[in-house]
Amino acid sequence: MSPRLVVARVIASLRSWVRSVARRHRLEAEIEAELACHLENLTADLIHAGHPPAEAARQARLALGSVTVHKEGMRASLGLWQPCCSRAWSSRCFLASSHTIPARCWPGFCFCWRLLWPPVGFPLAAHPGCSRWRLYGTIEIEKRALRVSAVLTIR
Amino acid sequence: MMEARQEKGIDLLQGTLDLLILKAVSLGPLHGYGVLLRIQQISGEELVIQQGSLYPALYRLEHQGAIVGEWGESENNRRAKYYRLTAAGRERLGEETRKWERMAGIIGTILSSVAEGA
Repeated sequence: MSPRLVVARVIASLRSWVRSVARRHRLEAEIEAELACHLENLTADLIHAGHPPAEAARQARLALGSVTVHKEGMRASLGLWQPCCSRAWSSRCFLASSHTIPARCWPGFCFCWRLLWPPVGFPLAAHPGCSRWRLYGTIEIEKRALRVSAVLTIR
Repeated sequence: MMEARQEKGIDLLQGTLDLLILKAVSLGPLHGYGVLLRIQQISGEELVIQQGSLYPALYRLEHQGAIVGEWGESENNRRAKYYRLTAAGRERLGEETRKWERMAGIIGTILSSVAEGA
């Protein structure tokens, strides 16, 4: 491949990636519309070939396969599979895909948060002058932290 | 119709889909389904393209700047994305075609070779 073509490709890829990330919601709508259009055309062709409408729609869906997988493939083609940069743009997608590191860590994070949350807030809410309350809060935090570490070790 | 087509059709060789898409789009702007139909029509219904691999390939080519997509109206008055070849895409098509012809020639030469004593 000629160097000029390589440079042109890199610039085009960068521009496309920035555009995709900046207009993520629009991109999702476009992907949806494009696949719907494909399905409709295929169904129309099958009806034209003599299939009953319901059967044609079913066969078209079978022929197209999993729309979710195609969408993932389309996003990956645009370089939108990286977890930390582009996925972060849309929090729904950020946590939805099982391929991303945050998505894999998220259940564990929620679990730790649920265990730690009440005592973390407790000493903040207690009166600063009351050392008994603060002591109780500190002990609670330590107890819960021990529980978390024990659970994580068992896991 | 579709089952029969899949029975007799040949699966696409790895890495050739991009080239075929570029060629199909070079003949005129097409939407995704149109690209599929045109390749199947030109191949005489011999090639089977996995519909799932078509759209990632189209998006990849668009991402690389080889084709550009514009929204328009399809034959059935539905919003459809029409792809056309860019200057970079035309250049790439020429380059890939030359590479493919060279490779096909080499493979052909190897396959048609006979043993020295025969």
